[in-house]
Amino acid sequence: MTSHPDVEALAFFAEELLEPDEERTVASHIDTCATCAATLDELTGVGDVLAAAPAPEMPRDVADLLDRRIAEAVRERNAEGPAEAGADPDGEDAAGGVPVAGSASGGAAPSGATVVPLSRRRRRGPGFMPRLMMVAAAAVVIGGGGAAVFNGVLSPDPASDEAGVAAPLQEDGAGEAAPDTAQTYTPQVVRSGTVYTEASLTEQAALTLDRSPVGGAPSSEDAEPMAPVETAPVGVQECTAFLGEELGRGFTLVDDASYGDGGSRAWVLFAPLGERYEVYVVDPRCAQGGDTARSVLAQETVQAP
Amino acid sequence: MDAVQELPDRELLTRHAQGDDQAFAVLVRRHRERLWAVAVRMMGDPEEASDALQDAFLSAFRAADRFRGESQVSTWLHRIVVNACHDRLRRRKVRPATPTEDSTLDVMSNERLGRMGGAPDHASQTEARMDVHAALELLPLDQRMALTLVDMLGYRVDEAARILDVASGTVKSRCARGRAKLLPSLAHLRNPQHPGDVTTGRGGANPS
Repeated sequence: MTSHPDVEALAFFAEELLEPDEERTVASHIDTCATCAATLDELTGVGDVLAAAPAPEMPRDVADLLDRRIAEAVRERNAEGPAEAGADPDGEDAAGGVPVAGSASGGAAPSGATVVPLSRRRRRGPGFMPRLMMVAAAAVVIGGGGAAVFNGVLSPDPASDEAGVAAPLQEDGAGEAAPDTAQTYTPQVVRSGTVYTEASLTEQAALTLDRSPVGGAPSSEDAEPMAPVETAPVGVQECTAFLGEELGRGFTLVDDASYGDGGSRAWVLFAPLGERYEVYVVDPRCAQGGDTARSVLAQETVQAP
Repeated sequence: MDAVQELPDRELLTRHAQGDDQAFAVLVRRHRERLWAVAVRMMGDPEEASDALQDAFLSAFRAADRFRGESQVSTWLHRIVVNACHDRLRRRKVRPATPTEDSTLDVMSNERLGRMGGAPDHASQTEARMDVHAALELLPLDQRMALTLVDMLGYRVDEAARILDVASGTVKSRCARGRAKLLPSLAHLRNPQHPGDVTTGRGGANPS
């Protein structure tokens, strides 16, 4: 009898991957060796065990979370403006896709905006951008003259129906250098993908801080650096401004992430406080005004990295 | 709306790339169950599977205008999910592959006994699932991913090859190597209908 082929050779034999010579050798060996024949059967058994491993159905909350993330991505894309709308897929795709569209949408493919987005764009674009610009302007005012001047100019402004516009300017800039003040109101936004939990908030927040552009160079190899996202989620600016005013904090970093067992979307806000950072987990509805403090889901203090 | 629901995948992706607000959500609903099954088996953990699935769909959302019509949209989505899982698995700390092996095998064989109507095992379904995954953790990632698609999820070799973007022969050899590596972990695997195999079979698993 020839010597036993190793298990891998038998597995290759089963997949008909062996060279003809070797295959003949193994085949004739198996004919006379009950042990290797049994091993061959057991290899099939491996596949059976794997196939039988139970896997949970997709939980409802995962489906919901996915819906929310996609809806949010759509809103962000619209907030970016129509710049990309005309972006053509490569020729082959356009050729394959557009004719099908003809029957359903009258061939108006290039507009793409078959459903709602125009009105939304109109609303979001102007609603969003001027506010950002006002915040920038405010920083300049503070830098040049101080909070009092600023309040005098903006607070009574009845022209804006956005009640919170003046909010970011409330902090008394007494001991603060102007550049810091300006930066306070434009937090960097990252997406760490973290699902924060109450129990691990401290460690998770510290890691996010460490990986973020705010935290400087990561302190360990495990901390993979994160770049800020180009487009902040709609509402982050308002939220950090409102909450910053209410709490007397200036947020420098926001992690667009999830929180809790259900993995609900949440923003994790970081405000420097000496050698530490205060961390607030907030519901994204925070930006909708009213009682912003109620949107705070959790609060923690972590050491600056 | 109804018209949108019925559009073919490729048309939905094209519309999405052109700025349509609804098209991508329809695509997600159409494929998410299947892709969840892929992610949860790859990751072995619902929470990580959820993260990977979100990452994947959001990358697909942003990369839609780079989709090349050479593959099915479904294959393309699978590839993105598999890559998202791969990234997460790679980042996961490598577990030492020694002392857990024996207990892993016991649970796996018990699970099989239970499935075949043999003696009920002491391990819960959850434990069994975790231990199958513990065994998979021992494999190199490429073997693990091929086995997950082919053996766990029942994809044909050519489908798995397209998803993994390798040749069919490569998928087969990765599966073969993976099964050979898992086999020692299954040394106690016994078919209860043939108790006579117990001794001879064991010798077969580890010819010396």
